Parts: sequence; structure tokens; C-alpha cells
Amino acid sequence: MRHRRQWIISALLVAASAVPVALFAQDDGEKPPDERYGRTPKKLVPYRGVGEPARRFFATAPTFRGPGREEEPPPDLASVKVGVLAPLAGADAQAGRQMVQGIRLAFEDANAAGGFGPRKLPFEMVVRDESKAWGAAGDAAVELVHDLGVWALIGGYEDANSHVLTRVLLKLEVPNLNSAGVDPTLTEHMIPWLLRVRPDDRQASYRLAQRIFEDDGHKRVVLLRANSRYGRTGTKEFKDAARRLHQPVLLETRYETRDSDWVTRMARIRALRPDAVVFWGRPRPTGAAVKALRSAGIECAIYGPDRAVGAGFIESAGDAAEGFVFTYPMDPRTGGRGWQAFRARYVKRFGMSPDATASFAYDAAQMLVAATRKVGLNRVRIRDALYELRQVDGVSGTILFDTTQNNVSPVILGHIEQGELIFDG
Amino acid sequence: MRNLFSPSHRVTALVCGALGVALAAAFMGVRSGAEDEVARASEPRPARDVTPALDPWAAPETYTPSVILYDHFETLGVEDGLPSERITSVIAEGDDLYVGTDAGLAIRRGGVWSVLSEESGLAHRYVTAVARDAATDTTWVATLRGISRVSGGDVRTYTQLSSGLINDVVYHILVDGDLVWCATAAGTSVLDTRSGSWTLYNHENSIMHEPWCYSIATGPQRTWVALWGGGIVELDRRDGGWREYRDPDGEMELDLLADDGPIHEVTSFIAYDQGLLWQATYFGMARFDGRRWRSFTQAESGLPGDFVAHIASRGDACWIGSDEGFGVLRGDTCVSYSRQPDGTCSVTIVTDGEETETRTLATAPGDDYVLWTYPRESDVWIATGHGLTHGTATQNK
Repeated sequence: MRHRRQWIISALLVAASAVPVALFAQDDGEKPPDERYGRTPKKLVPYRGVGEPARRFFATAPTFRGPGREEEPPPDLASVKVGVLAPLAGADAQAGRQMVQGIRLAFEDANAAGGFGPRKLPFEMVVRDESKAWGAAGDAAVELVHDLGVWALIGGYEDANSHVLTRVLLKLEVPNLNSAGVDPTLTEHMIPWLLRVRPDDRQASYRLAQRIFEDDGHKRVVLLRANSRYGRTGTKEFKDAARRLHQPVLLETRYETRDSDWVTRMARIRALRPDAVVFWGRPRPTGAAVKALRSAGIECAIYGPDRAVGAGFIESAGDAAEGFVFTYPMDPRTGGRGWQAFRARYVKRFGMSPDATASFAYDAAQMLVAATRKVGLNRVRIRDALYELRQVDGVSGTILFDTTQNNVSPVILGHIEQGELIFDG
Repeated sequence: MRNLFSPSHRVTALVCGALGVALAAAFMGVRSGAEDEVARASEPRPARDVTPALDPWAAPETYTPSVILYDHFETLGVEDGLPSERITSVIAEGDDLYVGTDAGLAIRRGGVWSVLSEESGLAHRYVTAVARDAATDTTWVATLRGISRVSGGDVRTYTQLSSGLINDVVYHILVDGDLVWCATAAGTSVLDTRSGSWTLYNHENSIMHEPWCYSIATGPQRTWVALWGGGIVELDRRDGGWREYRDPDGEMELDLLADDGPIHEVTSFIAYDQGLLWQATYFGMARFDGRRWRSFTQAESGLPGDFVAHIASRGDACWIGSDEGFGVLRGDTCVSYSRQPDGTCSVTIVTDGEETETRTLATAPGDDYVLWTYPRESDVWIATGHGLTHGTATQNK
């Protein structure tokens, strides 16, 4: 009798463990994930159980129907100017440096290959710092386009700045390649001037949800995130995914950049006996939060997106970072087309290895160079050429654009081991 | 920052306003203190409306009448005196015109055109919106680098560094009595022209989900702000309280139920008149009467396009500027005007989702890329990507 009961329980456990395996499996009888908005797995489609919504947006690509395709460039140009908005100071300065270096290398490559047109005009980068007051990105974009005559913009990095930039694009009528933004809503507006070249936090959330709930079988998950716009917008898709998998997060609690007293929060987390804690925030404050978790004796699995493990995370978290599982928007082990040569040139030119930010910035600049060479110096036609792109094989890997011209390529996972980022695929 | 509409400030404003009017009457023409205050006080002005508990949703017995079927279009361009044919905004007063373009502000008064540019002191050459204070004959101009006040031949500019403007990228400007409302890339700024003081609203001191403001509408004791990614927020000016209107499904990629709220979170423009609040988005439009929402799209309702950049309301009708043409929506009927390659205009009338009539006109708006409309009782001015168009109804009164 006792053996029979054990056998039944074992069978039930096996059956239960098989359920989540099916969650991300290929769907039957419906659109494959590649055709669904955001490459959303079937189980994570919003309101999937209540029938078809009244309207689905983003079914068709944004189109610019205004004038300007007939306009010719000024005859006396000395270069092809491109505006770059990047963080040059503050917590994101390192990312801004990688971004600018990636674009610089792309333009140096393009100029070595003849620049633009029969006069071999060089591609020239005009950089502005986005890390000033909130909203300064709009002012900078007006200056770059109206005063300096740039043909396109690359940037920004911080999503609040990128949103400001995106809104003014409709007035400036200039293409914008965003190579670093992670906010899923950044491209959800139909403004026909923006492309995002890197995968966003939607893809990171899907991958983390798959890993946490399916692969690792966790059920008691706590979300510990930055009390910021980045923390709020970044975690929405993860929370939605958890809820749609019938594993809603047990607790969502927040931290500030300079938090030092963690006692109350850690007591609340410990009381919930979590299997896993998901962190979402900037590297240094997130490292401090991870350290506080481990110091409180909470030994559950820990996860987060790529931006959390940027420069300063490991220094801030110390040994507590061990085992932290993170997403990454490209695979630095293999890269994409020309990765090894790009990496070698980058190391030689700048004395450091390129990260994902540098790689996507390089790809964005390469796409812009190719589009400009194809259609000439006309902002609307450059925009049209960029919106024709469906798949680009860049140094970062294969870039897959959806209807909103957002890169929906899957992200990979990695973990921290002995103070190093180890990429697992 | 202070709450301009708290009860205490209302009393203060009322007292100050009364004193200001009395002083202005006593010392008409004497200039002292802030230029704004004197310039404003020297003109006869209606008193600020402080009547308690006006219902912004009360429908009138009869709505203001307007023609919605136009049969003739004429377009003005550079040859007629405009500095550019990319028209961004327009206001008409009698035969006078105030026209925003990407190359400055064009003014036609007494049949004569003049152009204000950066060289004339305008904040920036790209004009995003124009507002008029007819009582003081003042024109307020929103640009991509601040706002300018044009009055009596003088141009005064307000920027983020020189005033209480919260950001220099200004998408909309609106005059409401003594107040000038500015929707900017980082919040809403309000200039009280009587005191010269500014009030700022953003995500830190209001209900705004995001601070990115696109346009302003005002009604009885209410102000509405169109937010990028935050639907619409409403300020009750009696007590400073806020309320927000959001799409209840919480998803950007879909609209779960058709008429359950704003059609999308990204609001590109709003307009209010006679108890009806209209929302423009890049996904269609919505209308709110205080109790019910109703949404409209190109496929379901016959809108000229779903990418709506501007709306203007008058009575129970709403004029639509989309990237696929210009149109008018009234009740369940939408009239859409589309320029054909041969220069004629295709007019489509859709009622209750069914196409009921099509017409072809010999003339058409300058372009289907429409950024602004300004309707009047029997005509309409249309800002297009290829000139400023005047639509009239010679037969369809």
C-alpha cells in the first residue's frame, strides 16, 4: 500500500513537472511565435483566455506619408553628419563610451571604404551628452537636426531620454536608430522614424520566465527592483509573464540608489521563503541589494537582466554575485558575421573588449551607412531604406525586426562564476 | 511649485485679480512692474470664472452649428506669401490668419503677409502650435525651442532658462483667460499672465504617469492634458484634484474592449467643446461624454486615417488631421477627404460603419498629410504638408 502511494505521488510529480515544459513549446494551430507581436510565446499572449481583443495594434509597419522624398541635399557638404546621443557622464558613462566607440569604429570602417558618394564625403559623428536634465535629449536633437544638419540620429541610452527623443522625431522628421534602449514601450507608438537595434526587456523577461519557471521549476518568486522608471517599465513584462504562467510574484519590493538599511525588506523576503529573487535595476545599487540578500542569509536563486550586471555590479555585490543568472542581448562567445575581426579591431583601436552596447552601436551605424549609400542624402528616403530591413546579420548576431522595427531576436543567458560573466547560450 | 488652483490660491487670485483690474482702470496706460501685468491689465478682460461646480459634461440644448461637407478647396503656398509650404498650425480670425510653419510664423492681416522668424526674435523657426488671445490681440507661439508672445509688434521669448517653462520643446500652447498653458516634452507649464508667475506639472507633483505632454484642452473648471504613454489626465481647477483616463486593458499592443476607455495610452492630441472630450491617437480616436467612451478607427468608422496628429472640436463635431487625409466626425457619421493623384478630391461618407456616399470634387486639400485644422461655422483651414488649404461650402450650407 505504502509503495503504491509512493508510486502514485511519483507519477503525479513527473506529470506536474512536464506541464511547464510545454509552456514555451512550439504552438499548435496558431501563429508561430515569430509572427506574433513581440515574438510572444503562446502562453504569454495577453488576455489569451478571453477571446480575440477588439483591436490588435502593430499589425502593419509604421509609414511616413509626409513630404520630403524629393528634396535634394545642399551642394556644399563637407561631410555626412550623424548625431549621437549617449551618456557621457554619471552612472552610465561607461556604456556611453562603448556606444560612441562602436559608432566611431563603424564610421572609420566606412570612411576607409570610400565614405559617401563620388566626392567620398566622410561620415562624421556629432556627439551630445544625454545625461543632463531630463528632457535635454529633445533640445539636443533640435540642435543636431536644425542647427547642425545631421542626417540621422543614433541613441539614446537611458529610455526616458529616448522617449523624449522619439516624440520629437515626428517634428524633426529624421531617422533614429536606438542601439541601447531596453524599455519595451519605446517602439510601441507607430511613429515611423525609430528603429531599435538591440532586443528589449520584453525578450529578457520571456527568457527569464522560461528559465525560472520552466527550467529551474521555481514557484515562489520575489521581485526586488529599483524604485525608478527603468525598474517599473522593465519588470512589467516579467510580472505579466509570471502571472500568465499562474506563478505570480509573491512580493514586489523596491530599492533606492543609496539604500543602506535593508533589514525590513529582507525580513519580508525571508518570511516568504522564496525559491528565487529577480533583481531589476542599475548595476551598483543592484549589487548592493544582492549583497544585502545574501547577508540576510537568504540563499535562493538570483536572476536579473543584462543591464543589472553592467560595470560596477560585481564590485558592488562582491562574493554575493556568485551564481547570479542574467540575460544578455547577444552571444559574445560567437558574435555574428565578422565578429572576430570586429573584436580584434576594436581592442586594437580602443584598448578594451567591445560589449553588447558597443556591438549594437556598431551594427546600427553600419545599417545607417548602408542605407545612406543606397538612397542618398535624404532623411525620408534613408528612413524608408531602414524600414525595409527585416533581418540584418551584424557583428552582434542576427537582428530580426518586427513590424514596429524593433529587434525581437531571442536573448541568451549567462551566470556569474568566480567574479566573471560566463555566457551559457 | 505651487498649486494654482487650490482654494486658498483661488481666493488670493480673485482678490489680486480684482485689485489688478481696479488699479488698471485707475492708472490706464501707466507702465510699472512686470511688462506682462501692465500689458494685460490695459485691455478689457472677462473676469475669471469662479462659479462653483460647473458640469463640464453638460450637453447644450443645441450644439454650435458647423458645416462638415465642403465642396471647394483653395491652397496657399510660398507664392502667396508663406515662408514654407510645410504648415504645422493655423488660426483664423475673420480674414486674418496666424500660420505656423517649419520656417517661422506667417501672419496675414488686412490681406498683407508678414513673417516672423528667429531673426525677428521668434524662439525657433519650427512652429508647433499657435494660440490667440483676441481680447489683447496677442499671439502665443509654441516652437521647438521655447514659446514666443507676439503683441503690438513686440516679440518676447520664454525658454527653460529664462522663465518657468519646464522644457523648450513645446508641442502645444493654449490661452484660457489669463492663463497660457504649454504642453512640453517634460511636463506642463502654466503662465499666469496677470501675475507673471508659472505653475509646473509633471510626474512628480501630479497624477501624470509620464511627463511627456502633447496637448492641452480646457473646459468649465477643468483642464485636460494629453500624455504620451499615459492617456489623458484631468485637473479639476476648483480644488487642484487630478483624475486620469487610461485604457483599462493596460496593454499597448491591443484594445481589449472597443469602448471601455481611451483607445490607446499614447495620446497625440485632445480637444473639448460643449460636454465632449475627444482623444486623438496614432491608432484611431475616442470620444468621452462624461459617462461613456466611444472609439473610432479608419476600418470601423471611416476615419481618413488612424495616425491622427490633430483634432479640433466645435459643437458635437470633431475635425481630424491625419497622415492620410482630413475629415470630420459627427455622431456616427464621418466625412473623409482624400486628394487624388489628378488633383481632385475623393469624399467618402461613412455612417455607422457603412459607406453611404462618395463624391468627387474638382479641388482638393494641398496634401493628405494634415497636421492641423481650424474649423469655423462654414469654412475650415487645413495645415498640410504642401500648403495651407481653405475649405468652403458653397452649396452644402
